[in-house]
Amino acid sequence: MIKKIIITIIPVICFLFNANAQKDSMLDALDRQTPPVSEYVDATFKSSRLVNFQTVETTGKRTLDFRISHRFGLLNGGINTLYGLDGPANLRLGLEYSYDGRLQVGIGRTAYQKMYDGFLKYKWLRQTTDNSMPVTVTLLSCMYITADKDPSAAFTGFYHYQYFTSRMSYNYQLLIARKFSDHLSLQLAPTMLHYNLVENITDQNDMYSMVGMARYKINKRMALTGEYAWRISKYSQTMSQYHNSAAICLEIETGGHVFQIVLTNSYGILENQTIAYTQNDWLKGQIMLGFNIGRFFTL
Amino acid sequence: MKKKLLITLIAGMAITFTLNSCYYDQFQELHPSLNTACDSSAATYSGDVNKIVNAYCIGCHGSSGSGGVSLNSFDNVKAAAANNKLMNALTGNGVPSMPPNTHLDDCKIGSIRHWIQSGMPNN
Repeated sequence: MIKKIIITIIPVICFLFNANAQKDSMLDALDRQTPPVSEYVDATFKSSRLVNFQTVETTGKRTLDFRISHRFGLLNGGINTLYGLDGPANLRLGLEYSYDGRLQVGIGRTAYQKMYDGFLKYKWLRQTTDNSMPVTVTLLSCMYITADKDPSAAFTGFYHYQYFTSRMSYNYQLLIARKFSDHLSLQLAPTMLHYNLVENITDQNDMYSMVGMARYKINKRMALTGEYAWRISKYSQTMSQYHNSAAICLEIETGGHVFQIVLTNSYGILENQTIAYTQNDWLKGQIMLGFNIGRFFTL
Repeated sequence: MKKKLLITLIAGMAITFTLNSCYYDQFQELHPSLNTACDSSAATYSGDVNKIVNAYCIGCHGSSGSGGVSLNSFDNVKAAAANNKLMNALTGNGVPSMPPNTHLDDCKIGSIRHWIQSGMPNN
């Protein structure tokens, strides 16, 4: 009897053991054959602009982003100007849209220099969770047209905008960003600006710079961000009158909105105004308060 | 396929438009006589100072007088010049530099300085 039981049990155990081993080896084989699931990293930044400069982000599929950017006067104007709230203020209204979530078009109008702008932005490479692509790379091309009158024409007798093309300038950027963790994202952007018309014979129409930015997420809704533009090329003999653009920002995300409270030394909002021609100096306390609001509409 | 074609088309149009409208002009080169056009030593109120104020200041410092400074008349401009508010603002001396978004060139500042040093006449 015992012998019969042993004879029955041993094959069963052998079968079970063998089956288990086979299952394990099949799973191992599957693991070996199936590469780890690779997903795109999302929300490197929460908005297509950090403060004045563009991030690698594009708006979502079929999403329209209505943006309002506002800058007040200088804080060091004191209580007499209510720390800049009396102005002079600068305002940009913009609309940005993407159909597929990667190619984005945008238009806007800024009060300072009565500047109209349009841009094309394409999210070329996307960072993946498995690091097969370690960075997100976005290409950006902007064009600006000023509708301003030339205030100096009254006494020089020469009109700056004799040719329409003199009103135009351009910005080209390669935006490279990496989200290092859920909290920290960094971006570098080699930048080239082109001005169709510059003032002096010794001035350069092309200028090169590097824009750096960082975002540190404090909690689910809020993040601290900062950006800085290094002017690399010697584009003008008067460039020492101007300063590198820098800004810090508290970013608050609510449903469908991104609200950014900004401290910056740049009165301008667009790249062609801020990178080369920021007049104020952080070290002298020449900073101004501002805010950006982004409101998303799914169309 | 359609999407790629659309992206190529848009990018192609943008590049073509950009290259066609790209110039390398310098204002001084377009107008060589510009360098001799400004003579700050002959500056007058009506010919220079008032034009500069109207072009660069009056937008904010008109009748409403942003920051309590109004420059909408000869008397107001003269008062701001007499108590050094005007030159301090133009040179950023102890107060925020004005205009807030640009630098006046040396010739324009020199014209206003000359007019002040000449006793601020209404000429």
